[in-house]
Amino acid sequence: MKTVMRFINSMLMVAAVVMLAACAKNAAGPESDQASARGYAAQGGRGATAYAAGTRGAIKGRVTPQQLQQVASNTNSIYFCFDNNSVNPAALQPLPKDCGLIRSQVSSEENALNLVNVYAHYLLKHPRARVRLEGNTDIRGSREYNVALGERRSLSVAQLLEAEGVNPQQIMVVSYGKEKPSDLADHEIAHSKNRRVDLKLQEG
Amino acid sequence: MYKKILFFCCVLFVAQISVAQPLLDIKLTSAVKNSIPLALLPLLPEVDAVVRQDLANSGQFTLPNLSQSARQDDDAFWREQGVHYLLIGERQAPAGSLRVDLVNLYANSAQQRIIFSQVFDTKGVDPRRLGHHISDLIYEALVGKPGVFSTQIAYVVVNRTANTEDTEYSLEVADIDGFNAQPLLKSSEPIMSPAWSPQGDRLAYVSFEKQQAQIYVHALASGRRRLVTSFPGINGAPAWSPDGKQLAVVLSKSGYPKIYIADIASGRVQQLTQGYAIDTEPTWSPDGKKILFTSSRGGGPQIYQVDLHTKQVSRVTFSGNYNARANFTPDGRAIVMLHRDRQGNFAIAKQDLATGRVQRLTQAHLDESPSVAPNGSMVLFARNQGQRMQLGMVSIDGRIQLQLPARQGDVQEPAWSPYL
Repeated sequence: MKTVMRFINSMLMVAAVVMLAACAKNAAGPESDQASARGYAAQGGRGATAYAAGTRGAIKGRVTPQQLQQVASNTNSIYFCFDNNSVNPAALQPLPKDCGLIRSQVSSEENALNLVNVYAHYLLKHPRARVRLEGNTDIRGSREYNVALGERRSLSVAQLLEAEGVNPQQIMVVSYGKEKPSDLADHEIAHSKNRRVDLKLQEG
Repeated sequence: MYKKILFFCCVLFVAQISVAQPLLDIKLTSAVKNSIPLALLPLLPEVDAVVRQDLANSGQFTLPNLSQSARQDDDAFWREQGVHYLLIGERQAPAGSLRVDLVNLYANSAQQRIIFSQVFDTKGVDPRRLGHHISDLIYEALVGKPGVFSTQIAYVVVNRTANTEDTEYSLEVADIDGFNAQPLLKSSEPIMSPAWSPQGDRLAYVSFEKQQAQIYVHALASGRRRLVTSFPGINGAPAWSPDGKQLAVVLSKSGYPKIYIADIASGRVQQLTQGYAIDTEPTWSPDGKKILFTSSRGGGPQIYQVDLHTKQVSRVTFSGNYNARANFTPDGRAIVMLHRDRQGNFAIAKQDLATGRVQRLTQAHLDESPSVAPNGSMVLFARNQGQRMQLGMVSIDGRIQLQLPARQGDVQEPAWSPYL
């Protein structure tokens, strides 16, 4: 019975995030703020109205010691689709441009929500540990504007952690915009690797 | 484990460090057709070379190679060579004096023949500095506006390694021709958005050296730095007020990136723009009454202006769905910005403020970070080409193009100094 509830809860969560996420399909170009401005406004500022839709605690699942070890000792990245800040359908692998196609393709193991869940567990267990959320964008467009776009990605991950009950004091949000690309090439595969938030744990 | 990032702030300000091989070269790729034919008769070899390079690279002069036998008083010979103006240098007593005459070979009278005649004391004077000064005089006399050959540029050099943790960022200041490059700050974390104070004595910039964005003001002569803002979130895009006392900055401490005015002396900040959209990249109008900024409030990024007195905001750009990082031209009549075309190319473009007409100045795929010369003649920008950032220049009418290829690394975030 408990498992069923858990399942229903996670389905509700997914539905809520999908509804919040607006995915733009622009012509070739850099990441713009077109769709994400609305998504962000609907979610409210950091720690504001983001988890009012019954999502608190919804993504708790089984977290293994191996998973906790994995987040404690590595930098993990969450990849976003083009022109988007939403953690769903963000994944643990670079995502191609078209978010509409992606949403159904991201497997449950690859889903970024699972990773966020592991971090939440870790941070709740280790109240003195902190996580740095470093937002990044692809290499196109204006530098300072990209810093603003990257921050929105970091904040969307921060909101999910806070929704899991993580103390906001344990979360540091930084945006490098396009200053730290992981691939310098000018093609879609490279761009997809750069659309990411790096999660870095720091012991307290 | 928290990984302590090593950084060091290295301030070198020994006057006149001469670098034989500058990091940046300068290469003219497109010049105007009706350039001014001017012959240079030997001044002093080192000065000569500088003047020759300055004028040639301006794209507005043609400099014929002259034969040794040519005589300065043989007007007929020079006219035959297609030369219109002569620059004549002559050593004079006392020792070290150099007289420089600019001569119009088509003058109607003897008085009009000499455009200027000036005597310089060359003793202990850096020949590059003297050369740039003479180039400025010639440019002003023949083109009609002050030259910018004695100005400087600030830029960020990024040396990347296979391991991204080892990437090095360095903020440098160099002469406009790439010589005399001096590092102001070296860091293992990004440095962004250098901006010259109106007096040319300080640079404001963003540094991530403490693993978060902070805005500093760095005095060039002393190397002393002042931390201006260090709020949680974005501290970005500093822009100087015309009086040099305030910075317009971007802070996201409220949850959204907004424009604030920061008082440099006190560090006090006051919020200028409101709402939930991204507001960034502020720049002051030359009269100090307005601030331009990039905002996503209409969807994609566009340029808006806010009147500092009434706080009224109005939209400035309407052409295309991506316009960002605007600068005013010094006369305040136009803005220069980053503009995306329908094919997804990022170009440097100019918009006339009276007519709204947008003119594209560059034709590459990924240009960015335009910075206008203090005389309004040229725009400096960065270009992503073959996975490297390089600097380029384009004239404000788009006709003259220059490249500043770097010997190593990425060179980005250029900022053109005021007159120094």
